[in-house]
Amino acid sequence: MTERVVLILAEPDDVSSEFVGRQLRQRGCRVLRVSVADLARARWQHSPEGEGATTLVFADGRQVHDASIGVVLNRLASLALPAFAHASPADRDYAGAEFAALLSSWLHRLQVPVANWVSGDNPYAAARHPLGWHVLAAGQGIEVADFVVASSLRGGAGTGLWRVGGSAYPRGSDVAGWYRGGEAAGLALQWIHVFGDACCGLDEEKVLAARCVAFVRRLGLACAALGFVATAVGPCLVELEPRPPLEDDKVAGCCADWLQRALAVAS
Amino acid sequence: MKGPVLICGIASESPLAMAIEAAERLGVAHRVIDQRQLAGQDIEAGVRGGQLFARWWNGAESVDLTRCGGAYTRVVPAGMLRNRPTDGREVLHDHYFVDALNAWLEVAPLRVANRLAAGMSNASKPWQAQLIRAAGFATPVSLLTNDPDAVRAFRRRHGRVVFKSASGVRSIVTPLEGALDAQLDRVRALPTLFQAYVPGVNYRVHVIGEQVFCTRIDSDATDYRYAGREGQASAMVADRLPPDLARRCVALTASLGLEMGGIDLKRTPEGEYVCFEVNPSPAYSCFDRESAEAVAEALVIHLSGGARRGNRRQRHPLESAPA
Repeated sequence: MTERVVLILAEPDDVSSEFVGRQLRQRGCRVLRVSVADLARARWQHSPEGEGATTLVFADGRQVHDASIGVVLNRLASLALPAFAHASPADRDYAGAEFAALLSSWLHRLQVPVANWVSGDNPYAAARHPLGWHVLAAGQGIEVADFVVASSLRGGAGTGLWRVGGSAYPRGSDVAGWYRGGEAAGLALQWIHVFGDACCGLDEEKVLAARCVAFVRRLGLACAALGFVATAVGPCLVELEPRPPLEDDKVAGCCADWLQRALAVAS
Repeated sequence: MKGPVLICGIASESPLAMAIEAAERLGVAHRVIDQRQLAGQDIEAGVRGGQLFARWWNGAESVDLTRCGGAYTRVVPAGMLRNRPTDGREVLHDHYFVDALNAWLEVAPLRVANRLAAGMSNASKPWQAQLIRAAGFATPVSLLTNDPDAVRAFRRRHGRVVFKSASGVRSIVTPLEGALDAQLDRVRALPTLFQAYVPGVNYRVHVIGEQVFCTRIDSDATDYRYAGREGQASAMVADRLPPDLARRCVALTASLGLEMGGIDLKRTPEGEYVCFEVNPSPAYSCFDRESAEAVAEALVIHLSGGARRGNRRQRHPLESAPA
């Protein structure tokens, strides 16, 4: 049986990937880590249909076979292609969109778990916009803080809430914006990490852990960090991080455990 | 859920304008949020006490958006509008108006044509092709590559080849021939989507829920949308699909999570139908007038919580009846 690899898509300066990669190697897993530049400089032949797998040959001659990939950890925050670094913004954006289209198709054709998918240009996706994930979390029975998006304070829904971020515009005019509850003000967040069907950091709260797993899956993600604050009614979700830092041995270990399990299933 | 249809975007843009006209003609309750008329209007959307809410002030009254039965949205980013405001406060206002509206539409419990998330497969034609094939359709033989030799081999195998954008960025479908041959090495800079040319007759199929409307496009152009550039003409005529194909179009649109889809098909000389893409924001108004009006009517009825499967409904004369 062919031993599969964990494919980590990450930039060279992504420390989280180093933590996870180290944990994986300690568990005897094979790891292949590639950056955007590696992918952009590689020779590609990809077909979305038919029996042929993708041919992917890196500049150093290494070839990756689709069948060798068992699971993907995607840590890429953007697709800045080196060849277009000095191109016009329009050309740069076009190249990025085209390359994202290729990666999306390639990753989907692998038919292995991907944490997380190459995201399209949708800033309103529930995984990216606070209104979306507040609603989906509440739908899973997770206590959430109040959150409002408003073009003005005319309706009063933002009353008692704090405006998120600042504004470069004249004082008194920056009333349009995001408003959220002050629950987290001055409090340290307790971060829960979800990797697939596992929840790291909620050992004693099985019900909430199950809800967190369901919530992350509902977002279309395979991994995320959820920031909670303690309130009188229990833990309240105030932050979501779909690309969480994993620069912690325990958290990286949880991630590596999930990747290893996924690898075992694929093999 | 039944309720007024919310129509959002640039009201004078023909797909929205036709939908508004259809709603008025049919007496379907509707509200219009015109992106070019946001001055004096406000919106707030959010979660309080775990409950989703959304309210809109249109200058005359306050409207509870959660009472809408459905929404048709073609909202564009505020920065893309012509004559957009330059005053800082107005810029901020318009930005967050669009932000609130779009974010609410993504999660609101009503029929939305279409949520942005459902349309994201269109941002990758090859990925969407996998989904289309999974729904039982044939798709063009394709190759995404930055290897000129691979392109040449692909052309030797398939003869006539075209290339186009792989993402959702609009491009003109172009034959790989003539002067472009000498420029093939340019693909080394960026993997490009090549497809074996599919001969035949073009069809645009608009699916609204379970209703199917078909337009046949008679043209010899490689890309009928730009027939004039090739010195060609194109004629659009309302047509009907075979019932089984209509059924598969309905299923394909639903499988992508879309309430409305614009499906591009070609019927080959051998009688096979090949599917190129599903457009989640189709400009249905650009096709033949008969079909466009039928689509607009079906859209507003569907979004108002109109007839569902099993209810008696008079089929539109132009509909292709799914099997």
